[in-house]
Amino acid sequence: MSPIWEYILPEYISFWWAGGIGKFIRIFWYFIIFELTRYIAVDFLVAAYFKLHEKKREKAWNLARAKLFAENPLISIIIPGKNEGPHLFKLTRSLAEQTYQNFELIIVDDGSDDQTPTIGKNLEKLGLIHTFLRNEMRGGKASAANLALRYCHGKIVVHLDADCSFDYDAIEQIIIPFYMDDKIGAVGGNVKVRNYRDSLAAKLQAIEYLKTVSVGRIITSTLGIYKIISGAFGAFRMDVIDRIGGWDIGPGLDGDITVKIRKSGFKTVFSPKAICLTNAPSKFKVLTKQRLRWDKSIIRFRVRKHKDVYLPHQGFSWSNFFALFENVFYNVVLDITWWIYILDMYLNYSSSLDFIIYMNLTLYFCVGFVQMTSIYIFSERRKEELYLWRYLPLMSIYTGLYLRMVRTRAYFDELLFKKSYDDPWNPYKSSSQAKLNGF
Amino acid sequence: MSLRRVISALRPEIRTYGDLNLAFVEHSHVLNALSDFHFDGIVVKDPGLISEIRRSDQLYLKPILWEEGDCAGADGTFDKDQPTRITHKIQKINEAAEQFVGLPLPGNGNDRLVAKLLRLLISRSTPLSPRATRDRRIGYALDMLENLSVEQDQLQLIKFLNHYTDKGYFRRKLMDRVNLCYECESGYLNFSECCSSCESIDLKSEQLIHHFRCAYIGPESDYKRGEILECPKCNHVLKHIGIDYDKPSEIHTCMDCNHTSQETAMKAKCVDCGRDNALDKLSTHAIYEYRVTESGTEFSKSTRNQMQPNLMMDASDSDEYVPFAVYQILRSHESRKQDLYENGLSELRISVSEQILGSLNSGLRKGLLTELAGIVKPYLKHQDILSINTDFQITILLLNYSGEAQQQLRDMLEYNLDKMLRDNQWTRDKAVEISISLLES
Repeated sequence: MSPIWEYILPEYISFWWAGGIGKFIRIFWYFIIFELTRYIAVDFLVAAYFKLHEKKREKAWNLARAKLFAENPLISIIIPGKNEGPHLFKLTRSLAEQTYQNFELIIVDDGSDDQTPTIGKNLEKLGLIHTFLRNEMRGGKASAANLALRYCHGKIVVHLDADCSFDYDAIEQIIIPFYMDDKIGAVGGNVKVRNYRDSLAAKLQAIEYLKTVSVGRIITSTLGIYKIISGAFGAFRMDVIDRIGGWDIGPGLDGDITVKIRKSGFKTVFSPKAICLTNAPSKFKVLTKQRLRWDKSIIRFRVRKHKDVYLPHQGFSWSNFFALFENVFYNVVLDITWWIYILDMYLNYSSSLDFIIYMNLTLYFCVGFVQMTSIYIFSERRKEELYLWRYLPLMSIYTGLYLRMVRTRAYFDELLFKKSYDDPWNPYKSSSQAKLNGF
Repeated sequence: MSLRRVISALRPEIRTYGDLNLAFVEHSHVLNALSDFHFDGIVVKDPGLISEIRRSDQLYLKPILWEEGDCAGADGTFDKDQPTRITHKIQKINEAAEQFVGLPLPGNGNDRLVAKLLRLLISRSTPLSPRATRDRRIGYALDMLENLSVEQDQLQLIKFLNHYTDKGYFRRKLMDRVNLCYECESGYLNFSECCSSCESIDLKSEQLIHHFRCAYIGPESDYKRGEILECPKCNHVLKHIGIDYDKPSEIHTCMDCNHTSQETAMKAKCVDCGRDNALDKLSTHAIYEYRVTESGTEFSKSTRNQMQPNLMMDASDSDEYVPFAVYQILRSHESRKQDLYENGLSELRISVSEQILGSLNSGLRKGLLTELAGIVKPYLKHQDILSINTDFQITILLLNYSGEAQQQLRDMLEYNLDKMLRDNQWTRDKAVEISISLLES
């Protein structure tokens, strides 16, 4: 008989048995209070609510769809970016397959140093792009998006990333919600990972996107606290985005504009059937850089720039308060709390750490499977996504350790040194002005 | 008019200046009588006489002097005050022309013309240089050849010269390129920037301004508040270029159709026929200077007839395809990530038979390629990329086709294209060749 079965396992079981439920709660207070409530209890409650109202929602959806096609408004699809030329032809082909066809396509080349201008101008000549604009000097993504916005003629603006591809009805699916409620100012699309077979990093991100984007955003949207419209695929009412002055300097401009829209009194919702596929970083080094940028923007925008959301004032809104509070609490506050939890374990249970780590991994592993079940309920690509289930055991290390480390580093850098202003993602001329003016 | 004056008008007047005997000719009917006289050169007043002399098989090599100032096509000017100043030049021409005395000219029209031209150039030790002039439709005159030839269309003359250059009689040097109206082949064109959408020339061009502080970007008029620039988004006054703002590019707005673009089109209005030409539709021709080669010299002394020149065909692009330069970029991009495709990438090439393409002018060739594209496109997936390479092959980048799917596509295209070309009686032989090759990353 192996020593695992003979000694280790019985000892492990007797340790937890002897401690009883009280000791279990004392040791796993972090998991029980935060993780279990938010990611299991709330998710399943909302999922149940979502399912219960499916018929009603479908009826409203069909009515809105009929209204949309009766009006057939012009939609402006804008794609700002740098060195995106090689993706443009495919993108135009992908858009040509859309069920909704009354759109103009505006591409802004933000100072590319490859063949993008040649490709863009040729595609414009061939009539595959309606307007191709180029800034000889790079101004950053926000200015490129604003330039496109300046020359839009549509009633709704759809912002895309050039390297994305779309389900044949994605454009239709993202604009229908505007016809369901006049107070909706912006709609987010459902971004999934296309290259999930490429590498381990891509596989783990694919699972993460399913949890945080596909399901996480259904939950926040249903609760009325949806706070980030992805830059890869988002739609905005032209009058609303015009009123708030378009995009401000990033990084993290997609989250920022969502908050601006919410603050101006409009709702933001998620459209789970508006499917967009994108390539996630396939190397951990690139992923780390991307996440550092994203996580810094939480401090910069949600804690600093939009701090007025937390304070009582004339335009105060509880939904905005909870939208940002949920985001900051589950990212920043819980990140700090997690380190307190680790310290607590180290100081009080250092002799039992072996058992605690194993039990922690077991708990997160089980939760991961339960969460995947909720994803399975919502997903429209169940078969393809079954492939990812085998990588679930690694998620506790990926989200629990790797992403947490990256996040902690980002918060530290941003809180103490405002490092987001040094990010080369934006040109220095813009970042320095943003820093000077406290944006 | 008295009989004496009539008789004197029918006779050339021969004057002697030192060693030089010059025939003064005022009317063309005197030319026939000239062969009865001995003279070194002909002095003319009427420029029309120059071409009559050059077209004459007896007189074409004689030096011709123009009586008043410069005249294109003449060998020099007759100076009343110093008539012997040109003696040396005339003697040199006559000495050089001696070698052709008694040599018959070829019987065939084109060969006869080129032989005369060669002899004329050899005797003058000069190249045939194009002369820039407003008097010709294409903006250039080929004086010596124009005087020799009945054909006065410069483009036909250029084609004629190029044909004999290909045969090795001339060595040519590029002097210029002219762009001519597609309709009437006139070089008198008025170029102007116009709207790429409606072709109106009423455009408003403005600098774009990027305000760093709030990332707003728009045309200068958005910012103009009297004398100052004020951001329409954040109401800040822009003071310092490079610190507060920059001007990353320019934008044009059409005042007729309101279309906005950074790419204006250019069009060329033909002054002669009034047609608006797109620049890529202009007919471009090279203008060369032609020098006689050894083969040319040899031919000028022979009397053999050669073949008639053939029309040269121009290649042209079709709008139906992605430009080949763009295709190459896209192909290399797709090749780099071809691991994502289960069946990889392959390239399909359709070559239309040389017999068919060679028999078409550029307009018909374009029409044919457009028609072929219409047949090919429905068989492709929407993401496949269609282009035409510089050898007039239709080139298609096939993404993720299995071997079986490739073969099916090939068979279908071959059948349909062949049928289309045969139905149009283009050929009885095989009309198209289709090849497929796998691309390596």
